[in-house]
Amino acid sequence: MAFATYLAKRLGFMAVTLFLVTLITFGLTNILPGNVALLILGPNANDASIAALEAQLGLDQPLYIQYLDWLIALVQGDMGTSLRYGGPVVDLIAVRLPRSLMLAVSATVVSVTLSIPLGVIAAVKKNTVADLTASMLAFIGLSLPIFLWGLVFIYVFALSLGGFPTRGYVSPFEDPVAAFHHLVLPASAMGVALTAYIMRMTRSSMIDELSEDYIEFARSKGLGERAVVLRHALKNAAIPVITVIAFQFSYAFGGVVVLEEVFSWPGIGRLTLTAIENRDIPLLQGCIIVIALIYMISNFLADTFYAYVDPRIRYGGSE
Amino acid sequence: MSRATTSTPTEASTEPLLSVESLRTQFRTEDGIVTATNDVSFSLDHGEVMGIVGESGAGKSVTAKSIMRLIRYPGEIAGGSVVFDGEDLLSYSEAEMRSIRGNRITLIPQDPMTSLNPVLTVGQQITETIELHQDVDHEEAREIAIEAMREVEIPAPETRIDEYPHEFSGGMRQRILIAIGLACEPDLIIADEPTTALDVTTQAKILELLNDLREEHGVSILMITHNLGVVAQTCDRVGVMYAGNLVETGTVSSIFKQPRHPYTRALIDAIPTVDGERGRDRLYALAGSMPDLKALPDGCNFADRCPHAIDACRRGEDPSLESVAGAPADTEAACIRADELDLTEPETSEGDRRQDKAISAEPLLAVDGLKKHFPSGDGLLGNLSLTRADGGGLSLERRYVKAVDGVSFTINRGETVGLVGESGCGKSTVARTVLQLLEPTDGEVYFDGQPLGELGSTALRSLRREMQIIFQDPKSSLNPRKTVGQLIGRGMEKHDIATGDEKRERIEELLERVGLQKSDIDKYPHQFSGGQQQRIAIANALAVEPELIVCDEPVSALDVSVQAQILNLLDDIQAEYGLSYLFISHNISVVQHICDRVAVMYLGKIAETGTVEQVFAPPYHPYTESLLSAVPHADPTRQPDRILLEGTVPSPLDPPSGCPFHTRCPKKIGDVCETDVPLPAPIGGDERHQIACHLSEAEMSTPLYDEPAAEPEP
Amino acid sequence: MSTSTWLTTEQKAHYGRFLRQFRRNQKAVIGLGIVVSLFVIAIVTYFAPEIVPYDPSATDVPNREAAPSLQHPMGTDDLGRDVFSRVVLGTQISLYVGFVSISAAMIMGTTIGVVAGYYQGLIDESLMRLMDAMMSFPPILLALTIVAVMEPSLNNVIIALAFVYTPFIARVARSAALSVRNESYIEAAVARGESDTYIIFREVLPNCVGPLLVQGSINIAFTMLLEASLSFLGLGVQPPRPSWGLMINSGWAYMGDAPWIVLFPAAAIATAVIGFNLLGDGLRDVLDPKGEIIE
Repeated sequence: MAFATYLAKRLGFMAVTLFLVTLITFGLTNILPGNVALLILGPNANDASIAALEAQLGLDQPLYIQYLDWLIALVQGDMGTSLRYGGPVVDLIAVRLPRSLMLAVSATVVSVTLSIPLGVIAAVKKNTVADLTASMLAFIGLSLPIFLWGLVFIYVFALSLGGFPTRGYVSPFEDPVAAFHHLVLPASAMGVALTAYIMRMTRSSMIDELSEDYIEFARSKGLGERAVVLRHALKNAAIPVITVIAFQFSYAFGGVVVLEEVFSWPGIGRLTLTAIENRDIPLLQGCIIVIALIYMISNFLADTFYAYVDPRIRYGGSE
Repeated sequence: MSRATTSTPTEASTEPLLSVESLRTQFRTEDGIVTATNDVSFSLDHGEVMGIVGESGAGKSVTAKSIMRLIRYPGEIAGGSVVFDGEDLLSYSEAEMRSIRGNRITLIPQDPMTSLNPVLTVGQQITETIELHQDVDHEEAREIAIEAMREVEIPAPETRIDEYPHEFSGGMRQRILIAIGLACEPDLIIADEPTTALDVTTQAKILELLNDLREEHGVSILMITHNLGVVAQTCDRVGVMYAGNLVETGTVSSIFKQPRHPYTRALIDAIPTVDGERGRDRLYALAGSMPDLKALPDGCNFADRCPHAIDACRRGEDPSLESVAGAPADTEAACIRADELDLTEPETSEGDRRQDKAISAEPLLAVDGLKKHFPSGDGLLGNLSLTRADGGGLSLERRYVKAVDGVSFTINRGETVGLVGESGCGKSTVARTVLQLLEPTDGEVYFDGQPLGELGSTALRSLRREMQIIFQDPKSSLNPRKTVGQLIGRGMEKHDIATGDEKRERIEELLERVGLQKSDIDKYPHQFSGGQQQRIAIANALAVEPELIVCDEPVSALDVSVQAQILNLLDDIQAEYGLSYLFISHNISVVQHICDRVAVMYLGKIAETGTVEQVFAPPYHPYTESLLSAVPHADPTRQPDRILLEGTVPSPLDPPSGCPFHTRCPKKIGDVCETDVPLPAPIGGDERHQIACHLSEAEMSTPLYDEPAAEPEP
Repeated sequence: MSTSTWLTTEQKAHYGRFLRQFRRNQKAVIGLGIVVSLFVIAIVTYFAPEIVPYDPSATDVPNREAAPSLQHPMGTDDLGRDVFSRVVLGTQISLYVGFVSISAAMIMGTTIGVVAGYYQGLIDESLMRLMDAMMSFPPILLALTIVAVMEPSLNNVIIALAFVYTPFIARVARSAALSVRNESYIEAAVARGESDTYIIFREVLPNCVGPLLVQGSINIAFTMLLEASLSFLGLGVQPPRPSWGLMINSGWAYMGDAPWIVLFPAAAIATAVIGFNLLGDGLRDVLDPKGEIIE
């Protein structure tokens, strides 16, 4: 029951946050200068036709009515029509979202495989050369913006060493090998940039756990360091790390906006930039909402998993 | 319970089981090397229970960890030997040492709440030791684990073995730690403050269990504790530690009868006793505190605080343990004057009798039907909880913790009223609600006749000057970013008492009054020891010249010798400044020492109230009786007749119907206890002594010596 | 205080401990060294721009894409502008953006966080839900949208970044305030009859400074990264101002022939980011050994 209560509360919070997210999105995009009707009709339109279209689009209504209309449509899965492409925003996003997801998931996998072992080693060998090296490596990942990592990887692996394409996307359903080839560079570039955070979180979380009483008690039982670290400390340390991984996954979605531009990856990031360049408000609103939703879902999943792993939440705390 | 005065029969062996020689353990810190134990030597026989007692920082725990070689960087064992069963453990490799740890020497750690891994089941944590040290498969290990749980009297071990630590109460978790310690049938158990984190009634049960196990298994126990009562009730021999070294060793009976080292004497005298004529006298308090382990003085480490110190004490090395003329053979003391001093009688100090104080019959504070209910859980919607209704449908329900549920009492001018009870009984909530730091859910508090709930916020703010509070943790009660002068001066400015030079003079006077230096005025709180910080907190409370001071566990975080200093100080300033105290404590001896009247709280309600003499003598409320019997007395000759309460305190989220104590009451008489809430009724026609119980006065006067019962979880 | 010196001896003892630990922390010292040098460069070139060898916007087409040499220590770019001069002057922009936006975020975030943490209940809940919603957008997306809405310019980048980082600061301020709130000296202040304003600003806030300093200096590093990304996308600082991100953006096309056009501004970004990160990390070691700060 405690777990169900917990989930219900989380869902409730998410609903509130989502509502605020729609409010912020709508608020921001409606301050955008530029007349939508004028954009659609082109510069030669006369005042009468602009007014007619505005009435048709509901743009002559007060802002809160516009918001409510927009919100109701949104709840029904209707994000409007793209001004730039003409088609429904939902369809445009549906095509591109999986490509970005693939990139973000791969990047997260790369960074988790790099960062967790590095973090554990750094914590166990705290203040030694190994710790310093691992921390420095992570620091370097942290020190350049994601797009620059993309450029570095293109320069080193595509231009200098060769073997990987510098740009473009191939669907894994059409040509899995080529798709993998195209994925390697952007995914690794983003993975390296994300490694630092997870590694540092793993390290500090492990250091905290290793100073807990139950660790000393485990040592007093005669357990070896391996069992103490892997069986006792890591399981507890993993709990906060999961949250950071979820955060990084959604952060990766911020990264894709830039990285997709660098690698000409036709995902939701480039779509967002196109929407901004063209002042395509419905498309921009759709992209922003979807990306925020991805963030919320990944955090919700992390919280759920976290609650499931931690018996204090799963079975309800007695304290 | 009987303490074995002769060793339990084990294989005849002339060698001691454990022999520690000149053990020296150091820690490297930023400010230099701290010698945590220096030249510690003692030995422990087969089947013997030895206590190591001392105040915090004396080096007790470090000694225990050094024996198990659990000292880690930046600490290191710098010298000496630890001979266990004929082998020097310090020469063992780490792998060899691991086969000793948890197998032949086991540790029972201090804090049951943090010593178990929260994400592993208790079964996994017990069996991992068994599988590590015994040649058994997983199923057999599980059987052994269940058996160990049964032995430590955990009910239904077959099912509870798969539960997680947070599903057990503190006392039950301590039992699991003991089960882990027992599972591999060790030769030596090191119990590091095994009951310190527990309430007194739970402590009584754990001590009883340790005594039983020791008799059954003949295992040796090294008992690390700061509590002389625990030593008196469980140990055969004792070593007293001070500033990293043992200052006296001997049998428990001889040490309590005739200490040979002045520090041991002082330690015994500093404890307020629950009964006896000395109970209400001023406590004997050592001045000062333990020296800095980074810079120990020349000569005897204790000389600066010792009432018997002579010039020779302050020269040369710290004296080492030597046998004492006229003392039993195994008594040793580290004092150059041990042979000449007679420390049989308690130490006395000037102003021995407490000052008589003027208590008026007029109430200063009256609390009437006070209630405080908290929404359970965090956040705005935190107290909402999904519950399944009888029909099967889910519904949301708001849940409240009834921390204080109808409490009434008065405090007269000049009087000290104690509020005593175990953790979670609501006593601290009463303190905060009385001061309107928390808004009462119901009921009213009258200060000098004014109902506080009806005062506007401005009037309340100016009335706050009359009511001050002293907290348990002095460190947390002083803003670390302000100097002592700023801290104390703020209240004076705020309430227009003094400014400028006059303010500074007054602060300096106050500092001297509470036993600090004038020059301390510009220092920051972290530059003081815990006892000194509590003195600053007292000066801070006095600065606004209040009439009432609420003392919320003011001495609980302090060592016993410092506790005595603070209690004496509180006593002195009461008469001097005409103060009234509301004194909150879980420590019955302290309450009995300092209070005029007492209220005993259980689960948000007052069970019994009366003068100290009335409450601490029959007729009792059954809870008061149990509480009193559970206190371990620092007197080995006293036969304890502990009443062992069943179960644990019920959750205040869901308190029992009828009498809140009925689920655990050893004198429960039947259905009436479960259905009717007992109302406080005067005893013997005296309105001052009231007990809320369905029993007759005669029944409440009959002593109850119950057989130890198992502890089923509710 | 009766003494007329700047610090009393007691204060010296009080802060001395912090200074000693700081000095012993290599990360903090290196980080502070980098940060101070950057500030010196920025301030000197602001007041004496003629100190750099070339006018940063003077083109010299015949001499474009020249490799690093004694005349041009970092080479010239595609228009023949001196990369060294531009990188040095770029320090001003980077620091200006980072410092001003984080100062604004600190003021807003601290106020929100401390008020939420102190009052708890409904105020806390609504403020923090709003912060959560703002944090649901990846920082760069939020910054992009705000800048796009308001037209790309230096000041709009600063405003956008200040908004983006306010919730991060607010979260830290709130958790610091929450833990301070549990200290008994807060209850003591209420018991003394202090007003909420006094308690928030004189008792709570000074004890939250440590975590906030750490978070602030780490967030300056983040804003530098973000500013570079925005400029790279053409939605940040506008040409001809010599922003590091912008230099990479325009130099990228010539990467094969003249890698120095990208390399040196990239190194400058990395140095500045590492500097602030090291400083923040070192401060964390000294001020917050228990690791209460979230990132």
